Amino acid sequence: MFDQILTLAGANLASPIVLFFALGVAAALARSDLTVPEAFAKGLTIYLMLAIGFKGGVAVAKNGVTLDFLTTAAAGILLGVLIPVIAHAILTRTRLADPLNAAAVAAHYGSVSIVTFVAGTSLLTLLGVAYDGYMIAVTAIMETPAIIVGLWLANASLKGDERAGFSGQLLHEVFLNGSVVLLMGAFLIGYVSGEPGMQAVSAFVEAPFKGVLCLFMLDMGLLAGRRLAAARLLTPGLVAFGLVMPLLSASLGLATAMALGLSPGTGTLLMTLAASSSYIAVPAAMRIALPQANPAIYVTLSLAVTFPFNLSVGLPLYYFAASNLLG
Amino acid sequence: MTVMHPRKRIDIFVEMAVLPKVEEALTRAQVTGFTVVPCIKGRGWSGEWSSDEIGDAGRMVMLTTITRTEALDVVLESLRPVMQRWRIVVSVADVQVLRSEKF
Repeated sequence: MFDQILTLAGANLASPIVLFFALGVAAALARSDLTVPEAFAKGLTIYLMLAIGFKGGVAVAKNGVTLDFLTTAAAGILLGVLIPVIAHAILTRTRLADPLNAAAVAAHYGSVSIVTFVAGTSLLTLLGVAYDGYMIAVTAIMETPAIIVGLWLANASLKGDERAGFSGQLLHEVFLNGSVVLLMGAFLIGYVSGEPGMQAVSAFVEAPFKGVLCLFMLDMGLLAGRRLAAARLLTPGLVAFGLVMPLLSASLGLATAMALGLSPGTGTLLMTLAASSSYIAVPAAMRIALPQANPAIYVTLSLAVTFPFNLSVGLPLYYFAASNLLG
Repeated sequence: MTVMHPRKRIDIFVEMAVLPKVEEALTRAQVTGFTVVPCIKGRGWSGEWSSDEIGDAGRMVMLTTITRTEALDVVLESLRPVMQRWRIVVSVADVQVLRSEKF
C-alpha cells in the first residue's frame, strides 16, 4: 500500500504541471525577476476556463443530465455549507484567528479552486482514470454557498452597520465573476455543440491545453512564492490549519462520494473540490463584504499553503483513497 | 501673464473591488469628472502588495479628481462612510488649473 502511494506521489511530483509550479515558487523565493506579463496571464486564465468548460459540456452531452449529476451537485452544495462551519469552529475554538478572519478563511476553504480541480483532472488523465464531465458544473456550483455561509458566520460576531450586507455589487461579484461566466458559458456551448463541436475545435481546446497549463502553473508558483516570502501574519498554527483542513474536507468529500456511489475518478474530483480553497472569487467577495478581515491572512493561507499542499501531496493521496474505497 | 485658478485635487487609493463604492460617493457629491490609474506596487499595514494579484479585486488603483475649493467638504463627507468601512487612503492637495470652467 505504501509503495502504491509513493508511486502515485512520484508520478504526480514529476509531472510538468507540478514542476513548473515549483519553478515559479523557487524563482519568487530567490527574488528572480521572472514574471508572466499580466495581460498574458489573464489570457491563459481565459483559455483554461474556456477549454475546461467546453470539454465538460461535451462530456455531459454524451450522457445527458443524469441523476448522478443532480445528486452530486446537491451534495457539493451541502459540502460548501458544512466545510466553512467546521473550519470556523476550528479556527475560533483554537484561537488561531479572531472571529472575522476565521469567517473569511472559512469561506475560502468552503469554496473551491478551479485550478486545483484542473490539476486533479490532469492527474487522472495521466493515470488513465475516467471521470464524469458534469464535475465541471459541480465546480461552478460549489463556488458560491461558502461565501454566503462565511458572511453569515461573520455577521454573528458583528453589530449593526458593521455587518456584511448582500449588496448588488456583492451578488454581481459572486454570480457573475468572469471565471464563473466563462466556465459555465463554455460548458453550455460544449453541451449544445456536442461531439461535432469538439471535433471542430479540438486542435484549440485539447492539444495545447497541457502546455498552457504549465505556463499558468509557472505564474501561480510565482504568485504563491511572492505571497509566501511576504507572509508575516501566518502563524505556525495557521499554517498547520492550512495543511490539516484540506485533509479533513477531503475526508468529508470521500464519505459523500461513498454515499453517492461515485466512480474513483469522479470521487477523487469531489474530494479535490472539497479540499481546495478559493483564491479568486472569495477574496473578491470578502474585500467587498468583509473589509475588516485581512487578505494577508486569508489569501496567503489559501494560495501559498493549501494550494501547493493539494497540488503536491493532496491530489495523489485523494486518488489513492478514492481508488481503494470507491468503485 | 497666464491666469491660474486655485482648486483642490483629491487622490484616493483604493482596491478595485471597492472602487464602485468610491464612484457612488463621488456621484452623490455631484463630482462629474475623475480619472483612475493602476498602481504597480506598494507597502501598507497588511504588508506588501503588487499589481500581480490573481483576479482584479485586490488590485490597487488611484482615483484622482479636481474640485472647487468650496465643494471639498461635500465630497469628503460623501466619502466618509466608505472610509469608515473600507481601507482607502484619501489625500487632498492644492493645485492650480488653467481652464476654470472645466473644474
